[in-house]
Amino acid sequence: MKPLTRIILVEDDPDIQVVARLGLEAVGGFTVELCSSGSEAIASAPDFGPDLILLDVMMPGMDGLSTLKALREMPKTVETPVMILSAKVQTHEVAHYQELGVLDVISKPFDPMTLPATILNIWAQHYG
Amino acid sequence: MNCHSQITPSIALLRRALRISEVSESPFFTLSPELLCIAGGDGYFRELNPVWEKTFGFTNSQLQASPYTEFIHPEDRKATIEAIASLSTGSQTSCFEHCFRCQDGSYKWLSWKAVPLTEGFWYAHAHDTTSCKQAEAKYRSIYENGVEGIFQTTPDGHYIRANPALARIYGYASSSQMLEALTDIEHQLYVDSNRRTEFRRLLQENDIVSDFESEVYCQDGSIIWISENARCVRDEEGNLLYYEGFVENITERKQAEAELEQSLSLLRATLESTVNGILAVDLEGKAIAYNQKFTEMWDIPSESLNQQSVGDRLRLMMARVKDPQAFIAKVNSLYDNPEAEGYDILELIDGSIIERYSLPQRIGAKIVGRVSSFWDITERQKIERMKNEFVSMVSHELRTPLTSIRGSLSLIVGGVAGEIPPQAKALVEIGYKNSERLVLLINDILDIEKIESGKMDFKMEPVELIPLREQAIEANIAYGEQFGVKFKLHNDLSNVKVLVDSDRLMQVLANLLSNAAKFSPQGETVAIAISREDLSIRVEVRDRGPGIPEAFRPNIFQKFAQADSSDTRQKGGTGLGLSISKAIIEKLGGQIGFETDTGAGTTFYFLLPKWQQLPPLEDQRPDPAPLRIPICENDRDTAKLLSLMLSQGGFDTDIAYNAMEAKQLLAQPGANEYAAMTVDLAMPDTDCISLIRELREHENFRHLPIVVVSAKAQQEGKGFTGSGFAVIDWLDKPIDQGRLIAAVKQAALHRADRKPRILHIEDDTDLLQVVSVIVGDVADISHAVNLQDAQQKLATQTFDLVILDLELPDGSGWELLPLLKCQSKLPVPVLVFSAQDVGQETARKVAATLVKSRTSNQDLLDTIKSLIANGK
Repeated sequence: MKPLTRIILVEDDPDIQVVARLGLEAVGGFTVELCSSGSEAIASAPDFGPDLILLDVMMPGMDGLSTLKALREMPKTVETPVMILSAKVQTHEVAHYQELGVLDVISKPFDPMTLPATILNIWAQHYG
Repeated sequence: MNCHSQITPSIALLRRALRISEVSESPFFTLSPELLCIAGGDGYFRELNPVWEKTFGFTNSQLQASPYTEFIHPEDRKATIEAIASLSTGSQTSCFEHCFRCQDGSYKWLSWKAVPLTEGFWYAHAHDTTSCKQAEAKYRSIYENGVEGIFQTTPDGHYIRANPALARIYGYASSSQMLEALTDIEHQLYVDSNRRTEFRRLLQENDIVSDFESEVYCQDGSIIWISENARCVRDEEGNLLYYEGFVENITERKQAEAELEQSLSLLRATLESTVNGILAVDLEGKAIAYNQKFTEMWDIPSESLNQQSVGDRLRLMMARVKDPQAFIAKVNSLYDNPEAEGYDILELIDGSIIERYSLPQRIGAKIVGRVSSFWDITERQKIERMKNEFVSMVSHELRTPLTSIRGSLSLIVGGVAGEIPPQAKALVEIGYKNSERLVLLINDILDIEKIESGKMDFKMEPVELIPLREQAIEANIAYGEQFGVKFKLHNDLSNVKVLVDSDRLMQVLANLLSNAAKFSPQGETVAIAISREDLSIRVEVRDRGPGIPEAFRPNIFQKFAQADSSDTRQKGGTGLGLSISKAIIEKLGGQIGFETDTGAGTTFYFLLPKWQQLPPLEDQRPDPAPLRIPICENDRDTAKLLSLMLSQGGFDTDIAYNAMEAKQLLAQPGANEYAAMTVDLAMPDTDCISLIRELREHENFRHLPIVVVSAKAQQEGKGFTGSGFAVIDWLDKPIDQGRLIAAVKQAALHRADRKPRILHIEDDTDLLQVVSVIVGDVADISHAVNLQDAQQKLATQTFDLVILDLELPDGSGWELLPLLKCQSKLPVPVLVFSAQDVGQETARKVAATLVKSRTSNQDLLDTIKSLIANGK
């Protein structure tokens, strides 16, 4: 299976940052780079070299979808797998994300205790 | 009667000239236009002037040859003889009347005046009064027998005469009874006594009144409406003698008028009380009725609308819409299709949104115009949009804080933050559990919103129910363990498929399973069973819980309904699950329900229409003689294979290796018992098409379902015109056994235990009814009036036959064919029943085509019967 250790988490809500990070690091054992906005993610992604980017949708400034578009235009992240982590998960919204070529959509609220397992399951489906 | 006055001078003359010859030879006698005669005491005419011949058609010699009494009507003879006899006993004149026979056998009325001459002769003149008599008889008949009342009244309000009809109108047994009872017309008859005064005033001024309408009392006190036409009758000096006239009972007409007025005022009030703009037009488009709202909405001066030409009105309306071309195109299409229902959304230049809906106006079956309603939905759309945004926003805004609340608690409970004291842990667990519940609640509320706004998507596909049930159980095992409850399977049915959205059905199963677990005593099992029930599949979940309290049963499927509000807290759950389950099951075309027994447990079940499936062998009606099918197949191996397949399907077969042999088979005694036939397209001696054509011309095989088996069925099928065939299905080689048996069974066997189900897709509701009546006895008919309706019915129900109209309001009937022929379902035979003739290309796609105008009812019934083979 393609290795999955380094994750960029793009999330503007500081509380969710704490919860998600704990789940990913303490439970999942991943190396996590936290970005509070889309532009931060674009700035740090080329250097960090993530295996996966977890992307929130509703964010002030650059929203998740614009961030995704920008990431796809940079050579180093053009093929980096992205999962959406969002509360905006109505049927048509999910369908739209999938059209944009994301691996999958994880809906909020998520359980940080099981988040790593959920991510690994999706990962295995694509790269197992 | 004053018929004689003009001949008085001749009588005077006669009194002076008593000699017969003097009279008969006088120019007066020969030239008088009157009937003049001299008769003798011997009873014969002596002299007759020429008028007699002209009047009665006899020659005068004929009249003189017999006694004159011969010509007099037998009933009048005695009186005539007596009157004439009086002349010889001293009377100076005698007047009498009688009927006198004509040469053609008819009689004429004569009025006589006779004077004696010398020697027993008498001289007389007669006057033809036939027309007076007839008029009199007619008048008497009208007076006695007419339906109109006739009266003569004095100015002071007494009746002089009243005919029987008038007595009847006023409710009296006879004229005399009425004359006796009614002595004061002004007060006794008229409800409003001023009417009599008015009646007299009008007669005073005009000498005549017409259509004078009043309410009057009848004998029994009831009130009726009458109309009077009357005139004054005066003497020679012009003094008023009496009034005479006619009375007509117009009560019914008045009632009809009142009813009409009532419905008109109701229509007006209805038009004005609605919030919609309404416009009714005739077939030419002229405005017949409309309301104020309509004129306001379209800014049309209301007083001019009735006079306005259609073009002017449409121009005014077009000036108000954003897309005038689309607007007018729709209007024109509706003029072209007067029966069509019209629906569209119009955007006006001021930004408002108008929903336009219209229906034909019918009198009986005839379309006389169209009524359109215009609904301003600007506000509704705005609210709808706001609601959607709100729901979406609430969903997001609630989920965001919940993510961190639940996440934090979950991490603490999971020990990520290190060990915490037991008491603190218990409290955190409470927080965690309730945050979980909140998540479920938000999800359920969103689901309810989606269902109610029709936005929940259903991806319908045929699904095996057993694996789905196992999956549902597996997903809920852990949940059951919380309550110490196990799930157990019951009476498995294999090969059960339903047409559903499997995710949504899983949601329902999960809800029923978790409910059952929640309400079961610890250590109990919850049983899940699947069974067949008529055309449906029944899935039930049975628990051994306390049962549903009686008072609560009617509300069980309502939102936020839990038997005891404390249950919500004790048992968890949102109170929305059953409500969502019910909505989902109904959207899937099924029904949900429960059976409960206090203390013994509850069974929740749902029924889903069974996806069309071969009836398993044990379901077949025990048939002493299996149905026989001839196989007409060129290739011996294929023939053997077909025979084997069909015998596994429960049929007996006969094999013919060419068309000649097939014809021999069909010529045998009992060949008309054949249930269906398979035919190879490629045969050595003749082509399959000719064979089928020949069969179709034979009375016994006209309706024999034929299944064409061919290596290249699809291409060759294009050669068929369709009109002469009722080919049930096309099969390609290599042969798909399931499909073959299915096609044959569908054609031949069809359900012995029930009526076949037919979907009739047709926008003409009259035709729907007609067809319904024709085939109602042999089949159960469902209707769809447009494509959308049909698609929905086809997606959720199964049919044995589809009758298809090609021209539907929202598209062509052909668009349904892919749905009917989709790979996953057995093909449904289609009967095209349309005003347009079908081409070759399309004819092959369907089982049979009938052209509406050329189809008799019997044809239709026979075709349907043969397609579903109900007759077998």
